[in-house]
Amino acid sequence: MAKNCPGCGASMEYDPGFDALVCGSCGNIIDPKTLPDADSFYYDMNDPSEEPKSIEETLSEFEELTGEMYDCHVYTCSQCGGEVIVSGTEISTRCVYCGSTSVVFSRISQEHRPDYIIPFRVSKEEALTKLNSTLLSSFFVPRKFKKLPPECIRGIYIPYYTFDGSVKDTQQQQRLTGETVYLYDCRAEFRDLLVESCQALDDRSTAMLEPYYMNEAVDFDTSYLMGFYSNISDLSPRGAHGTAELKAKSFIYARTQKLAPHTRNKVIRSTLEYDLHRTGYALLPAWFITLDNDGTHYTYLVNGQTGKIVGAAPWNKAAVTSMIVASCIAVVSLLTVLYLKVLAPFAAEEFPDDYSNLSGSFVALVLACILFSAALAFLIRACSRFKHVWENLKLSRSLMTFIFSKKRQGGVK
Amino acid sequence: MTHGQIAVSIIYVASLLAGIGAVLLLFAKLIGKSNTYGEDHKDPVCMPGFDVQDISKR
Repeated sequence: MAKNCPGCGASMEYDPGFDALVCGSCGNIIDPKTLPDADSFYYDMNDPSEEPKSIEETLSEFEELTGEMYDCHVYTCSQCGGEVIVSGTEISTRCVYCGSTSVVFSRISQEHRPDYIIPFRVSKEEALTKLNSTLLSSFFVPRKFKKLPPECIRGIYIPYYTFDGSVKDTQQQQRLTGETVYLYDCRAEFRDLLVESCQALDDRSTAMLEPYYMNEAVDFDTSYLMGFYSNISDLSPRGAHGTAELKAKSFIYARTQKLAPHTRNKVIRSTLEYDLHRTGYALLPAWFITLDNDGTHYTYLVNGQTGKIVGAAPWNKAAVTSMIVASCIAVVSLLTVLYLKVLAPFAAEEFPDDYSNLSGSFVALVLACILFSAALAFLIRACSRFKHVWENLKLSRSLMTFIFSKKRQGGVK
Repeated sequence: MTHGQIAVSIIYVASLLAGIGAVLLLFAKLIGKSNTYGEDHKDPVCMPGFDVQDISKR
């Protein structure tokens, strides 16, 4: 169901710039808090003599007709009367016929209703501009990525559970290169520890969207969903609790790794005591930008509150490969010339075939072996750095995130 | 070939490896500029308090 403009009756959408609902037809701007509660509005629109059907009743009717169940519900668009199909985890979607935002109230009421929401603070235009200037301005990015079509971006509210509490840890660390052992007693306080609770999303990408500042969260109101997509949580509270503990543990380990005077330590024993409890369920904003490069899809995420960008830009493989090969040929040629013109004559002169400079030869050989080992280590490090960049690029091509985002653009059937 | 001449040849090969490594590192850095995945994580805002005691010497 869409929220309609009291002036002209057209559907309204939430605008981050105004922090209000804006009518796209007459330009009317309304504070979401001044509109009647969404649920009561929904019930007011129905015939008072007729009780609204529960979702179970609707599904049982459907089951009678088809003889089988599937995780999909059909709702009628309040704007044009068209039928909108939404998946079991979605709580708002766009009508495929008229494009107005439809909110499925039965999925956000009762236990599924979020406690808080952080409204979008970064507009669609700002998100696209930031992505263009930060990630896609590089020389190696294919030209068609420099200008992004507006339909590639979708604003989606991601469900999160919040946890408060503390974690104690008595940790024993050992130097990798020796027997030195360090013992630490630490205690960490957590406030609004976020656990993303939508299993359809790639956790690695969404974890990098953080931080979200929960002091800007407001009480949940369906007005903020207008113009955006959203999902409800499909992670059980127990599963979320386990994830919260893992996350708290990783934060503590990252902090304790900095404590010891040596950087290469390993944790050999850790006694963790968790006291974390779930405090709420919130919807947090993110822009999803999906791009296609010759059949390969890239998904970028922009934090809808802070504008932080998560992603790795695609690069023109042919151009990069040819430049790497050309650079390597140039380096090898230069070094070969240097060897033939300088090193080889020097070796012939300093270390003649009659073995007259035997001690000098041995010293030179030892030094050469050391240099060779250092050069090999450097090459391995360079290769691993290159591989790391390549692996990061794969995160932007996460199929899971792509399907999640694309489904909301009507592109995946 | 004497040991010295072998040593100079090894130095040549080592310089080739280092040169190729430098090229790869340079391109990794250039490509990595358009990549926010590698950014360092600062202390999380959800962890406002962290007390630690070094009890190694007790």
